[in-house]
Amino acid sequence: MRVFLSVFIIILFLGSCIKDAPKNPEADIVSFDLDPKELTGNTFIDQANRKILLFLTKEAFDKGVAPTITVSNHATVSPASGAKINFSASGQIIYTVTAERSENKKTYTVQVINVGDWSFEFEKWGQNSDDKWEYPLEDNNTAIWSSGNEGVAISGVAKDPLAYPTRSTNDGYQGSRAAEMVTIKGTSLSAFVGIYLYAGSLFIGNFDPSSVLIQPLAATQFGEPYVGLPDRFTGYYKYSPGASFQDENQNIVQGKTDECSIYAVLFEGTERLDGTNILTSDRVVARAVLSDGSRKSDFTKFEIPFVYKQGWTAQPGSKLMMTIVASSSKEGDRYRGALGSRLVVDNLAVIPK
Amino acid sequence: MNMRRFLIVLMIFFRANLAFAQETTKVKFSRLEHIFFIGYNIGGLAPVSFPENIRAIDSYSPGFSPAVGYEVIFKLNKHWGIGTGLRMDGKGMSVKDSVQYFHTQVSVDDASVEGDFSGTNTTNVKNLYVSLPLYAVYLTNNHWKIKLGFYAARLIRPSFSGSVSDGYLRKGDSLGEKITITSATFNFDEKQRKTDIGIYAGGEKLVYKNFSVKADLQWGLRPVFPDSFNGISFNMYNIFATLGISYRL
Repeated sequence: MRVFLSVFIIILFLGSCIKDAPKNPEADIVSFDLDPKELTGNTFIDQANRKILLFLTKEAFDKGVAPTITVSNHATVSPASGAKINFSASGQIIYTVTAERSENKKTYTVQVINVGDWSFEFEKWGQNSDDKWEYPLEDNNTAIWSSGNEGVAISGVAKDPLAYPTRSTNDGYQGSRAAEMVTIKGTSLSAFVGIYLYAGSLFIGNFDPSSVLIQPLAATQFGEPYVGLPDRFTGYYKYSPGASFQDENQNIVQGKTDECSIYAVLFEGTERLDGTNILTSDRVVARAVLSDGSRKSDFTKFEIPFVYKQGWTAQPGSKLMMTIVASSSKEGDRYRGALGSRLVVDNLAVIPK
Repeated sequence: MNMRRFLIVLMIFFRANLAFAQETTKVKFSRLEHIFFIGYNIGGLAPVSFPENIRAIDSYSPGFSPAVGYEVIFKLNKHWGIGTGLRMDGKGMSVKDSVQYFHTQVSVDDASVEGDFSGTNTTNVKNLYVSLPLYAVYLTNNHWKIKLGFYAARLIRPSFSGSVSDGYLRKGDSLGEKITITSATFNFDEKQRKTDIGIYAGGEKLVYKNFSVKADLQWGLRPVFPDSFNGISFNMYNIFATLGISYRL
């Protein structure tokens, strides 16, 4: 008996030893640090689209910068950390990270973002290469708008632009295209984490997928640098609420009609606000909020003055950020709304004083 | 593997031998031996070779995995015989391990997400199988029975679930964006194959009157999950030992 047991145990563990650690296959740029004096807004590393978005003062842009870069453990980066990069020469600046498992390489493209005149026609769109969601592009191919699409992608929807709640549409006010947001049903996977509905959303800022499962509201990083002071927020929209409003647990709320949400917020600093604090932060200095979120069958113009915090005056040299947020369901950030609610926005603009 | 066919074969075998036994009751040497046993299964759903993605086994427990069965041995001569039977096996385990860059694809209905997970994995398996062993048996002079053969098993109650926690998923592959996961559950009950076949080996020694102690091994040769399943990046096999006592009728 003892012999038998020993043989059995030997057989069982023969192939079952813990092997040496695999070489690290990861090739991330984890951080990309510059002197805060060189920045008008905090750097954002767009991991999904493999871009490094820089928001630079004019002086830093003219002189070039020397970022301090950290990468995944045992990975290497070229150009190296600390090496100076110049923006004067034409051509893209590309960083290549080589993982410890050296066949794994990842390239990041540096984009200097400069929001020009703060008017947006939504004529040009890009598409995520893996998951096929769409996002608006500026004329110079930079992306300053984001949406919740990247989070929806994680819940495993079909790889088709129309499967996502935010996308382009031909049904625009002017030009050939506009931004369409539709509140859609969650997936069988999202139901596992208690999400039964995704509202279409569009905002100026970035989406940080790392926290999307643990704190979804923190994934929406609002704001890009804004120079000067805004006077009013204008644009065109139309909206049709879905048939029945449901709460976050999928219960139908009788008698409640979904509403859309469109607003612009100006706030101080270079660090973005997110879904948890955009409405409450004491850094907010001015707001322009659409008050009528009801059905609009035809394109309807809005023109909303910014309401400034009482007693606030711009300090010389202080840095400001601005965001615009639109959603097909006003309470979509809390996963409440009506399936099928559809918001189309076009020709959004922030008019300076 | 057709379970029903096996059962029919078993019944025919059993009946034929009953008839045979009646004819030979006068002979002192009994050709048939009927055995009931109960036991406890220890083992796991394990890869035959540990992939490098598993960095540490933090805890392991076989859980409550009873085995109960009936076996019949037909003796060909003094030392050799063939045996078969029918047994019910709880094959379970609870294991908590640390994994790194563990490729997984989780699909529910039409929604699917794929990526490399690093962090803690907890797996709880509580499967119930009915199995039918068929083996050659060697009887020693000092009351040992040594068995070697095969088994076929049918999964009658599947249970394979668990969670991933304290880690992150890289979407798509190891170069994808990082998504922090504090805790997420999975359930692969119905993804498991319904049948298993494998090697059956065992030993049994008569210790007191008609009672024996026994130990045997069921080593599955078919991966528990079919090739079409991508939730776990390596093949897992049912590898279980049974320790128990048996009673000779």
